[in-house]
Order: sequence, then C-alpha cells, then structure tokens
Amino acid sequence: MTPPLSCENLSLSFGVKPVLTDVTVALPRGQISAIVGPNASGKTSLLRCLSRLQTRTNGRVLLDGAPIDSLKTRDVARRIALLPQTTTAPAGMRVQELVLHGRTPHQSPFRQWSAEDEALVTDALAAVGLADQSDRLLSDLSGGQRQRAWIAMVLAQDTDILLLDEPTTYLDLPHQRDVLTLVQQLQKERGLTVAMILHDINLAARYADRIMALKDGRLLHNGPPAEVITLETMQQIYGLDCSILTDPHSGKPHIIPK
Amino acid sequence: MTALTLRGFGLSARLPWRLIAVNAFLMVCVLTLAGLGLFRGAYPITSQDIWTTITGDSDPILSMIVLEYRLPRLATALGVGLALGLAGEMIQTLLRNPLASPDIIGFSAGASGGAVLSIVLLGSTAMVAPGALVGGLLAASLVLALSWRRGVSPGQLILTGIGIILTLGVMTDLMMTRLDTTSAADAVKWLVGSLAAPTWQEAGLLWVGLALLVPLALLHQFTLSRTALEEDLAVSLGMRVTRWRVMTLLLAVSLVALAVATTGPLPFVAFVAGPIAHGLNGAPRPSLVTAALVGAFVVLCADAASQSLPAALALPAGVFTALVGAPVLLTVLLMSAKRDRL
Repeated sequence: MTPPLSCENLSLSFGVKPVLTDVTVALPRGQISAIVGPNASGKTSLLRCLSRLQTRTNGRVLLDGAPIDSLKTRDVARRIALLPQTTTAPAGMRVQELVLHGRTPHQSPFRQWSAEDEALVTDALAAVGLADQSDRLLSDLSGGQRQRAWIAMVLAQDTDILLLDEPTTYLDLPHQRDVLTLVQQLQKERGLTVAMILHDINLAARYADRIMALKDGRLLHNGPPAEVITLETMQQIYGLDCSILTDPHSGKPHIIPK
Repeated sequence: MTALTLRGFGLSARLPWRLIAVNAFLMVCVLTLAGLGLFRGAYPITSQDIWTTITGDSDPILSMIVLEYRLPRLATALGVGLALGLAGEMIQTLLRNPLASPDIIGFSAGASGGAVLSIVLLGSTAMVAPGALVGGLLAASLVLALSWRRGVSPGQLILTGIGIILTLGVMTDLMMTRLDTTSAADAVKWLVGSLAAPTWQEAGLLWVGLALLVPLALLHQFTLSRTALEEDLAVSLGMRVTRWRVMTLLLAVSLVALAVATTGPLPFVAFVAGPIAHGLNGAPRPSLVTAALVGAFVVLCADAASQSLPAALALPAGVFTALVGAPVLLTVLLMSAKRDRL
C-alpha cells in the first residue's frame, strides 16, 4: 500500500550546516506517528520538508506516491494540514473566523462562506468542543481552548494528513492530555494520518502508534513504542540513563530518568 | 446571529453585523461631511444656490464657485482619503505592524525628494507631479529590493525603510536650501500635502485611477487576510505568500502614488486610518472598506479645518492631518508598549 506521505533520502542543509541527512521515512496510513528527538535534531525541519514549507537540498518527497513538487501550493494544502508550533492570530480574531481560515484552500475571493464551509466549520468546532464558544475572541480563551481552536482550524481544512508541531507546548499537564486525547479521537473517527512532534517521550509512547526518533538530522529509529523505547535507544538518542516501566494505564513503556 | 450570510450564484460571503453597521455609519458621515463642504468657504452659498447650480440656471459666479472650486476640491479630498486609507491598511496588515504605513516604506519621503529635485533641476514646477511619482516609486522599490531576503520579511522592510527615509529627508532639506523663496513655497505642497485648488483634470485622473485600483484592492482582502498570518501557516493554507506580498505592495504603492501625485504626501492619513477603523469595527485586520472610509473622513475633516481658518492664517490640509496623526501615533505606541509588557 502506498503511504500517504513519505520521503526518500531527504537531505537539507543551510549553507554548509547539515540539518537533515539521508532521511527515508513513510507515514503509515491511518496511524499516529510521533517524531521525537533532542533539541535541534531536525524534527521541525523534517515536518516542514514533508509539507513542502521548506525546500529540501536533496531527495524526494512523495504525496500518495507522486512527487510533491508537481503539485500546486493550493492542492498540497487540500491534502496536508500543518499546525506550526507557535501560532498567533491577528488581534480581534474570533474563534469561528479562525476556524473558517482553515477553509482557505477550498475558497476564493468570491466564495468565502459556502454551505459546505459552514457545515465543516460547525463540525470542526463541535469536534473540538468549542461549539458554544464560536463568537468569543481568541485572545479571551484559555491556552487549552485556544489550542483546540487551532486544531479545529486544521480540521476544517478537510485533509487526510495532519501534521502537528509540538501541539502541547505551553499547556499544563491536564491540557496536554486533553489535546492529545482529542487528536487520538479525531484520528480514529476520521481515519486521518497524523504526524506530530512531541518533546515528552512518555506522551509519545502513550498516544502514538509509531515513534520516529531523530538525532543530528538522521533517523535513528522508526517503529512501535515498545521497540523504540529501550534502555539502549534512550542512551543513544538522548544520552539518558533511565529506567523503563510499563505505564499501568496504557501498557506502553514509560521512562523515568535516573 | 452575529453575521449576515450572503449566498447565491455560486458566490458566498459572511459579513459580521457590526462591520456592516460601522461601514454604513462611516459612509453616512463621509457623505454628510462632503455635502456640508459645498457650503463651506469664503463665499456664502445656500442650498437654494446649489439646487439652481444643478438645474443650470444660476448666475455664473455661483456655478463657477460650486462646480470649479468646491466640487473638485471635495472630490479630491474624498478620493485621496479613500486611497490613503486603503493603502495604509494594506501595508499595516502586510507588515503586521500598526506603526507601519506608506510613509514607512519610503514612498512619501521619496515623493517629496523627487518633487523638490525636479524643481531644483528644471527651475520650474512643470514636472513636479511626475517627479514626485518617480521619486516615490524609486524609494519604495529601493526599500523593497534592499529588504529582499528570500521573500519580504516585515521587520527587515521597516528597518530598511527608516534608513532610506532618513537619508532622503536630509537630501530633500539640502535641496530646499538651494531654492529661492518662490520655488520653496511651491515645493511646500510636496513636503506636507495640500488640498488647495485642485482642478477637475487632477480630480478626474485621481478617480480614473481609483476606479481601476479600488475593485482590485477590495478583491485582495481575502488574500491579504491570509498572507498576513505567519508565513508557515499561510503557505500550509495554500497561499503563495511571496507573490501575494509583492501584489499587496504594488497595489498599496499605486494607491499612494495616485494620492501623492494629486495633493502631495498628506502625512499620517494612511497611518491613522487602520487603527481607528479597527477601534470602531472590532474586526481583525484587514478591514479595507472601513479603513478607506476612515481615510476619507480624516481628509475631509482636515479640509474643513484648513478652510475654517481666516485666509491670513491659512494652513495646508496636511498640517491638520498631522495634528490628527500625532495623538493616534502616541496612543498606538502606548497600547503596543502595554501589550508587550503583558
């Protein structure tokens, strides 16, 4: 089966500084992949290359098996939605307007609020539990609600592939769990292919079907959490001595640094 | 319901009620102010006189005052205000900075420099308007070219703009010292901007330009509101960001060029329109229609103020737009300082 989004021998360098080296990876269809790795290991660059936000130096990126470069920006946007790590909405933006922005690749200056737009925006707001907040200012929401509004925006984009760059940054623990549970639930309901960057390896183990570990721009490991999270690999990826327990709730590996 | 839904013939739009109300209110204000402008001036005119002028059986002096002086003046004030309001809102949205305006991308300074240079070189004011246009376009292109690093980044554009403006300002001042008193007086319009005695020819050219540019600008609202998001987000929503940013700049610069060629650079109009518009309509940037109407309102007010002074104290309208601009500038500065602390 052709993976929805993949790259072959992907390399990226800024000047002489290599950022990604020879990365070959495929997002499995209908699963959640977590991209993990130390700071500056190339996680965000990989996500940006996969979504063509960043022009790579070498290698190929394939969307449904076809080279992504042959597509128009708008057509890529109809298939891949990406939520960057830091997002700031313009002042005065209301929740519904933000979510409506997700419809951009399906709209034109003459068609800005079709019945389909309305249906999908309403649906996305309901899916993230913000249906009754649609007229509130984004700046009046709590951090967790605001992140859910952004997720509603990428949902309204109506794509099969969802890329999230650290969707839990700046959120407290309960909200981190809420957002990731939401992602998991949406993925199941809609059959999305999701890739997200996560800093917390335990959250990655718990919520992802697959973990892709990067270090110094190379893909070191790619497999189910139980395979990727071992004493040896934690040492190799993070230089971290730790113990690994079994998470009593999910049965997934849970690391405790020494 | 907080918004009006319009659908039909494959077209659709969503218009918040508050935006509709604010735009309608501003339109009434602008039209009223323009209408009142007909009665303003040294020569007293009644509504009866206006009516006879329209029907064509008034005395020639009256109809000359109305048709040849007051109407073109008001048409010019209205048009220049709309153009500057639109351009200011576009640039501020593009650069995501309420402090930015066409003054910042070097256009106004370039126009002043170009106008003064043409007087110095030719010894006459024959080529002042083309000089101003060329100067403005050159300065804006220079700023754009110098801040081009794989696309146009907002911060870079503002910094480069400030550098070019300071340089141009010094050069213009230097050239002014070479002019005799008469030419210097002619050059003043190109430093502050004035609505004194525009002809129908000037007003007509302005409105032909507006008829071409305003529909394009309003159509651009959709694109601009998306390209003004963070670059990664805008691209992942399917926008070709660099192309559209250049388009925004071109549209804004053309609008400013039109305005400056007609009245000289009226300071602060483009700058104040956006912040006032958003204070009123509470909508996120860009709100091109509201900003255009605010621009027109500000210029008409400045015109009214400059005409309400006795002739001996007459000041160009640009002085009054600057008077409005200074407090708004301070408010915006204080508000953004407060926001940054939070």
